[in-house]
Order: sequence, then structure tokens, then C-alpha cells
Amino acid sequence: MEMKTFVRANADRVVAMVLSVLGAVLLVAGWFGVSRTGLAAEQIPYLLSGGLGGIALIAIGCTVWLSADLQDEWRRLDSLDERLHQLNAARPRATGDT
Amino acid sequence: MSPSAPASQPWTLSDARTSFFAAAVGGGLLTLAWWQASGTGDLDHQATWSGLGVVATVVLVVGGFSWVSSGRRAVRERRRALFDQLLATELPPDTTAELDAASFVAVAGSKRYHRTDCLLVAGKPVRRLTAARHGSRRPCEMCQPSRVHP
Repeated sequence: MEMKTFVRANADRVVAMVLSVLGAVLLVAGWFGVSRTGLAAEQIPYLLSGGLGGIALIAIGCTVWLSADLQDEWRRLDSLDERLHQLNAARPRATGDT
Repeated sequence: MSPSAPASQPWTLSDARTSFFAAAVGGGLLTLAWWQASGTGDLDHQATWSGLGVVATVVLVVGGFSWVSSGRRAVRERRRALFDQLLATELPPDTTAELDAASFVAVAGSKRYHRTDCLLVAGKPVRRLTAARHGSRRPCEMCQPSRVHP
């Protein structure tokens, strides 16, 4: 239950982690594929799918993680903005009372 | 994106379009490169498709970088606008006579002390300070607690 709540609250970060782990798995799989054969013609497809594909997935994972951080910061700025507006709205009344 | 009417996220539709386009093109080209390179035993042919694969990966990475940098720019601009707005905001009338040194707070590790209602400490874990403990700290420039207890 706690895990479910955590995943729901951090869905974007979970996606980022999954993508990065998949990328790492692809890199390792690509390395295994390349090391199994000595023929360059058989190694290149592994280089493309495992090597470049893994790098691409890790890059996307990092992008998703960083964008989650930016969204968090944006929400904090939202609440700061809201507080500032409340402060500004409350001031004339407070001045009138004194 | 104006600071007074903020969207719920730092990106515009144009940012999303650019990054989605880069991701789609990069992913598509990488798949095509792999497909073409694995369907032949000709090394020259494979080298050409490998080059395309590298270009596709660069396109993908640049798309992600563009997404993150446009988000960072939006956050930075909004933070700056909010800070200017905060500095331009006049403080409420001085009710300092009612306050005493116990009304001040500080964030752990910070060299400044604030009033309890200071916006810069709103939502942060703070601890209350006595006069003796805030003596070595600087007063916050925004809430100006030194007006109460220099």
C-alpha cells in the first residue's frame, strides 16, 4: 500500500528510473552480443541496438528525472506566488484597521 | 508565460512540440539504422547506417537537453520575477512592539535570522531563536527583523 502511494506520487521519477535501468540492461546485453562474435558485421547491429539504444534510453530517463525536479520547483514557486498575493490582498485591510 | 498568470508547468506547447519531434525523429532514425544494419552483411553498408544511428542518438539527446534547458529558463525567469515582486512589496505596519526575541527563526545552516512570518522561510523547517542565539547571525534583508531587535 505504501509502495503504491509512493509510486503514484513519484510516477515521473519511477518512469525515469525504469528507462535508465532498461538502458543499462540494453548496454550490457549489447556488450554480451558483441563479445560473442568476432565478426564486425555481426557486432554492428548490437552496437546500434544495445550501445546507442541504451545510451538513448538513459538520456531520456535523465531528461524525465530532471523535468520532474523542475516541475517540483515550479509548484513551490506557485505556492510562493499565492502567498505573496495573499499578503498583498491582506495589507490594505490591515492598514485600515490601525 | 507571464509570472502573474503562471501555467501549471514551466514548458510551453512549443517546447513540448520541439522535444517530442526530436524524440520521435531520433527514435525512428535509430530503429531504421538498426534495422538496415542488421539486414546486411556488407560492412560498408553497415558503417553508413551506423553513422545514421549516431546522428539519431545525438538528435535524441539534443531534444532532451532542449526540454530541460527551456524548463530551467522558465523557472529561473519566474524565480527572478517573484523575487523582484517580493522586494517591491512593502512590509505590513510595524507591530514590532509586541514581538520579542523569541519570535525569530532561522533555517539550519543559514547565517540569517528571520521573522516567523517571513516568506523566505515559509514551508521550511525552522527553529526558534533566542536573542543570544541570533546574535551572530545577519538579519534577513526582506523581513528586516533587526527593526525589532537589532
